[in-house]
Amino acid sequence: MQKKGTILLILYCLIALLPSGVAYLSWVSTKSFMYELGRNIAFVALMIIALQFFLASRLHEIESPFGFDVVIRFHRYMGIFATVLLLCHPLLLAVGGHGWHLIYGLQLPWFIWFGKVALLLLVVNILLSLYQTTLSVKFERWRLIHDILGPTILILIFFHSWFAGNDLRLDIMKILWIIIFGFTLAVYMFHRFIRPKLLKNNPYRVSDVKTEADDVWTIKLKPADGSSVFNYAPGQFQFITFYRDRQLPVEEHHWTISSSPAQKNYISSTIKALGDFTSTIGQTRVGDTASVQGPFGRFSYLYHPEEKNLVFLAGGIGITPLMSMLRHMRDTKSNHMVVLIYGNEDEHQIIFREELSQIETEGYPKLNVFHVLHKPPAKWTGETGYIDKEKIQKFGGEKLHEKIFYVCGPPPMVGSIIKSLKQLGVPDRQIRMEVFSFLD
Amino acid sequence: MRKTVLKHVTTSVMIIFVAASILFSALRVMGISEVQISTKKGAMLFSKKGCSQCHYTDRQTSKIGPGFKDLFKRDNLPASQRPVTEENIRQQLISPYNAMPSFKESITDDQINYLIEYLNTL
Ligand SMILES: Cc1cc2nc3c(=O)[nH]c(=O)nc-3n(C[C@H](O)[C@H](O)[C@H](O)COP(=O)(O)OP(=O)(O)OC[C@H]3O[C@@H](n4cnc5c(N)ncnc54)[C@H](O)[C@@H]3O)c2cc1C
Ligand code: HEC
Repeated sequence: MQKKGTILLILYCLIALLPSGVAYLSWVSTKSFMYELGRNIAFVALMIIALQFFLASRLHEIESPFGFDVVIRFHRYMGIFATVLLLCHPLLLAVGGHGWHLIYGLQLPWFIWFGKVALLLLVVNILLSLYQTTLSVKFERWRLIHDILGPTILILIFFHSWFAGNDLRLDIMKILWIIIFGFTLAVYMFHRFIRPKLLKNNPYRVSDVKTEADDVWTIKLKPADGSSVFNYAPGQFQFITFYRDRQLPVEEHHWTISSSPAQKNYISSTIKALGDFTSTIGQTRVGDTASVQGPFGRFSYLYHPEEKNLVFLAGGIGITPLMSMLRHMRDTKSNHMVVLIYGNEDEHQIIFREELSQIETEGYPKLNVFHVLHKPPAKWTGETGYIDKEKIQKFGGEKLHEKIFYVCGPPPMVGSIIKSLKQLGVPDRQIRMEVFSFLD
Repeated sequence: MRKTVLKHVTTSVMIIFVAASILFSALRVMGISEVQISTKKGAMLFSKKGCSQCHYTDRQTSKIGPGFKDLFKRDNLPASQRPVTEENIRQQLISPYNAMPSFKESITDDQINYLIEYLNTL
């Protein structure tokens, strides 16, 4: 996996530098250094933008070595970086000899205006993406805007560079451009239109809806054609789009696969009502269909087979990936040693309580569960408060520094647990976490 | 954690991109690229397309048209007195200033580039 990741990363850099390289090899410049720099950073930025489409398209080959969250974060960083480069592009050209009328002039050819509009849209896109919560743009709306702005910017940039770019007079550059933009648009079309169609044509059917706790349901899904489900590692997640008619919303959301991959008949997700869409999840019925895409992520003990001594730290609905792992350990009769510290607001919110204690008694894996409640009932004998340094030290067992920690829950909880673990001297590489949001 | 690794990797990628852009730009401006090859192609074209019948390359005196020694070191083109730019030379080949035949139909953009390349070295 590491090797694959390194190769992909090198490939990314090479592709991004390809136009600068080809231009350099094909043709020298009579322009100033600043002008050339302006040109070259635009080449790089343009390639970063084209590659953004590949990063965002959930291609298994690109996602699996890194994990979805890492790819999306990289996508975000590179988007900002490309925008900064492109903001410098006209400035460097102006300084480098083109003259400042390029910046403030109005009498400019149409393709320069295309470039300016692209730049404006890019800045809008970045600001919307970074501040969607602050600007209270709904996720679905943001996604729609992002999906329209992306290809619009790409096409504007294509025409801008094709007509404004000096190097685009060279045949080899023209060929390169057509290949780059052709592939990029193709991957976009595949991701937005073709694959959703394919997934919809091979639907899953809801086979069971189970109430787990207040506002939490487990939805079981089976392939409608009776085939087995896709392969996944316990702890990974999937994208589900429910088609339930009855005027219920059709939206794609990501949820952990809470079932164990030891059986291939069904997959399940355990879903908490946390917002607009999920508040309708209890209305899902047996027989409803759904598109399912997965698996994604790298939050799984299966990627680290040599590690046997684990501490699971879960908050609320964050139990789901850990539950999938525990079920898988149970089904495969594994000899792992696991301590689970599981925090909830109150007793009614504890999910999988019976199943967890059953696993604890059966002994596969060797599991110790500690519940922590923030608002305990009167007769509660367990722990109270939040999962903190003291509790981790108390229940984590001996040789805390040698254990591997899997942390999952709401972002603030994950943040504070990570801080505690660092204070306890747990090295970075022994902490794995999953946060139920890609927005931070 | 993966997040920290990601930050390091992303920073490195960004630095590589900026450094490579600077390097490519510098090399390109200094002309240490495939310039030699382009120049050779340009020199070949200069005789193949017949420019050499009317233009000297080793002196400034006229043959039929003006000589091109140090063409790019001058401020203005010898006949039209327009500034010495790629664009003006391109213009000359497509719609000549005066008596020179037009190469509009017989020369490609790439070939013009190579010729300019060559003229730049005189
Ligand atoms: C890797 C991962 C695994 C998850 N696993 C589970 C799980 O097992 N069980 C579970 O109950 N929840 C899980 N979640 C959270 C779940 O995806 C969100 O709760 C759900 O998408 C919220 O939708 P909503 O429309 O009801 O909420 P909203 O009212 O839209 O908002 C609630 C929050 O969720 C964000 N959000 C809303 N829709 C989406 C979307 N389509 N994609 C991304 N973010 C969105 C909003 O920006 C907001 O911060 C997981 C999230 C991630 C990232
Ligand atoms: C038939 C003779 C002839 C040929 C062949 C010819 N030229 Fe010229 N060239 C001229 C003359 C005459 C001028 C003077 C300006 C004019 O008449 O357009 C000139 C001028 C120029 C100038 C200067 C223009 C200016 O604005 O001062 C350039 C540059 C030039 N030629 C390049 C070329 C190149 C490159 C070729 C080969 C592709 C070429 N010429 C072939 C006759 C020729």
